[in-house]
Amino acid sequence: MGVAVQEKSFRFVRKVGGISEYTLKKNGLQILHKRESAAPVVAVCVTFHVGSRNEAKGHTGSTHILEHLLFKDSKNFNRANGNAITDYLEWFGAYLNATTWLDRTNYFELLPREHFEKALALEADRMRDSLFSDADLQSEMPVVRNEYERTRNNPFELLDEEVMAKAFIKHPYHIPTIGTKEDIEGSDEKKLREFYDTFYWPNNATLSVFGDVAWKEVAAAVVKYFGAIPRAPRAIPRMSVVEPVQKETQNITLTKPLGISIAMVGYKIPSATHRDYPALLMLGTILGGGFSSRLQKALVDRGLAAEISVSVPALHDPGLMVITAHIAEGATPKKVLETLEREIQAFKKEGPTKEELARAKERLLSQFAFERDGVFSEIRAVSESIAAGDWALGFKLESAITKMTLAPLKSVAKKYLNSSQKTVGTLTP
Amino acid sequence: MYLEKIKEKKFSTGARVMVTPFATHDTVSFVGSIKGGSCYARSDEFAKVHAAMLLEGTKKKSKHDIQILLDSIGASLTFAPSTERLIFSGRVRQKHFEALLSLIAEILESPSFPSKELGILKSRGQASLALEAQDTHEQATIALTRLLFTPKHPNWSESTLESKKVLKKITAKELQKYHQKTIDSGSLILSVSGDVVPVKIFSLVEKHFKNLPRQKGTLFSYSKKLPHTAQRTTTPIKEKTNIDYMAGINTGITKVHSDYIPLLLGIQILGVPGFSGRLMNTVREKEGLTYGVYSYLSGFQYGADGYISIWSGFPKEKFAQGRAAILREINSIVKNGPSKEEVRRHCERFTASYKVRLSNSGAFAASVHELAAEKRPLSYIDEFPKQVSKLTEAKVTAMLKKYLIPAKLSEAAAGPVEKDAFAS
Repeated sequence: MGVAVQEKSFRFVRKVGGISEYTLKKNGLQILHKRESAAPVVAVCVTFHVGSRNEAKGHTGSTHILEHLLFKDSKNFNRANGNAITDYLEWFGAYLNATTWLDRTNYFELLPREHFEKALALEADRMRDSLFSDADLQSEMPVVRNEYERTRNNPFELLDEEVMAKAFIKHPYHIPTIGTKEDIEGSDEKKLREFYDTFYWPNNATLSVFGDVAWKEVAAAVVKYFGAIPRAPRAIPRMSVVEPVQKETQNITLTKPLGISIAMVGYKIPSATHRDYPALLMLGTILGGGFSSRLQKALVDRGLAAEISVSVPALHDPGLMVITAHIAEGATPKKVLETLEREIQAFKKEGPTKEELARAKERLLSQFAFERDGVFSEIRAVSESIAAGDWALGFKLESAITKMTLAPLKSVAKKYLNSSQKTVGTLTP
Repeated sequence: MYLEKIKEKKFSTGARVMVTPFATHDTVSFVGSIKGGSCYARSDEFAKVHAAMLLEGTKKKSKHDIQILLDSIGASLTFAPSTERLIFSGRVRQKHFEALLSLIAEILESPSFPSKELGILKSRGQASLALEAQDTHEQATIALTRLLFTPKHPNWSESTLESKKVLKKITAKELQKYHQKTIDSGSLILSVSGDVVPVKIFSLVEKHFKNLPRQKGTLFSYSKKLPHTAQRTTTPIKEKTNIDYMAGINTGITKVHSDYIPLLLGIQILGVPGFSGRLMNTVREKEGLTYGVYSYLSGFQYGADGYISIWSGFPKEKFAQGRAAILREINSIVKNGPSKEEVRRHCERFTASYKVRLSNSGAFAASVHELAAEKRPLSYIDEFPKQVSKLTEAKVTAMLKKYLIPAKLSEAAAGPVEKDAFAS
């Protein structure tokens, strides 16, 4: 493809961190490309800007079930042709899969560079020409049910679901991505087809291609496979539910005779693109990241918890920072929660030390560097940033963290780690 | 193709260091190991506690000092036992690699095993074992290895209850004694990959590991375990929603045996993780009985004779049907063998996916480390896919018939399973 044709077909948008963004003029498909020749492989990822947050009441789990059905036949990749989506690319050495989450659905492949076009051909085909049928849905339902049961087999996931359900009352984040059992059982092909026809369009997707392939080759393949797909005939619906302001601490207690105890505390936090998010990410690291965090010392090193973790999810809408403690033998959730509260109050009062700030910076900057070890890891991280609303989010966070000072950390702790924004969950035998 | 990128230095002690520059922009990944692991410790739990206690302090540094140092350099570092080696692995930015290497050397050379920290670690360990006790996958795996192997074999697993008892009794003195007796600089293997210059790494290893003690001790030895009569066991855990099912059979061979590669391909044709194995194609895709169903060659690390394992998970009501479907597919592939076309396609898949597997510095460092720990020539990193590409349908079928004997397949299930679930 000549330079003139490239210019005619694509609009260059920006370049950040070695990643170039283009738009396919014909249908609005967003394309991210990064040339990386460390290994003779290419990673491909199509991120649809639709996740379980876009599901209507009564149809929870649809995004996830649809993701499963997109591994059934499509117009040019199907069992009758002998090139079924499930295994076609694996014959060329690809690793492929797909995942559904709150804000996005992504389909991805990592494959030898000489086969990268095949991944684009397949992804373009199933973007609009999936042939899934009611028979496919019926045959896939036991698989989805089994995935649902496997999720509920994990006590941490079980409690996490309950904490999210208690923390959010109106926003779709209160339902787990996999959906409710009733909705999963009640899903039908017609509704799923409607969902597909609403959200699976090039102007609601980002195609990322990172690896040992030049833009010229990528551009030619994008035009060849995605060029004929039309833009969505109607505007893509935007989810506009706003969670009401929480006014008091919420509590949830689960009793399961599994011989283990877990304590979980969630605090409402803003979206990943909010100006306070970088400070919250650092706050999470100081509280529970790495080897020397405050909660590691207060809970794990004192024998109150076997393990702790703090997650500060980068979400599209305001979400939940979640602190999880697996209670150690001889300790109780009550004691752990009291200690945790003391640590939070101390942080709010005194803020972090200079040394803590420096260590958290080093840890987070190292994590960003590690994410770029291999194109597959990098493309998955960028997919999460896309879901949060800005594919360059990772680079912006890196820059913000490099410049971070002590004051914003104390300030966000005071602003967000409050009892009125808190949800506490425990699981005990 | 890959071999020329790996630079190796053998030290007079017998230690080996392999360095592979990899364009990873500032990241260094490493996997190292030294003699140790559950075989030498004579207990899985003892070996785990020994590894975990290494981060609890040295003669010069307290636990706090170690934690602060690791966070100051943003490093990840874990010590974990395998059957016959103590593995240490992690990642760090290039500018901090020397600091991390120096810490690892100090930890191996002079750990302090503080009693106070051991007490805390034990209470945490009991909670982790409680978690293990309700983990259906873990319980099915432990149960299967206990059906297939005997206690002195590296692939035999301690039960959770046994681990709890061992954990209660471990003392700091025992850990110190075990460490002094086992750790041998001559057995050190380190594979580093990423943004590195080989000569610099070699000199850093020489500088920091020079005081690591040598030992004369003998290597662990055991008898290979051949297939025996099929046995079945269930571990009921009522509160769970999913049953983990494992089936397996001993092979009596190690990775260096000439049957290993054709058997590996045969087992991958049956159930390679992904979608292209027969089990996923039939039991999941056609019959919708499970979310995942795969087969593996397991327990072959570091020279052990391993076993064939088949794993899946089912809700209680699908268990009998799912198990029957798996056994049917096993019987079919053993009786009829894979087709010529299947073998050809899987050979191509395997060789192409090899590039994909080695596409980041961590995976590359781990692969090189594994070759060295198994005492194979590093050239095997290029030879392995070539050998797979030469396989024939006849050879693969013969290996499946020889090793995957349905009548000798043992089975284990854990979760909401009836005690007599295998009666039918």
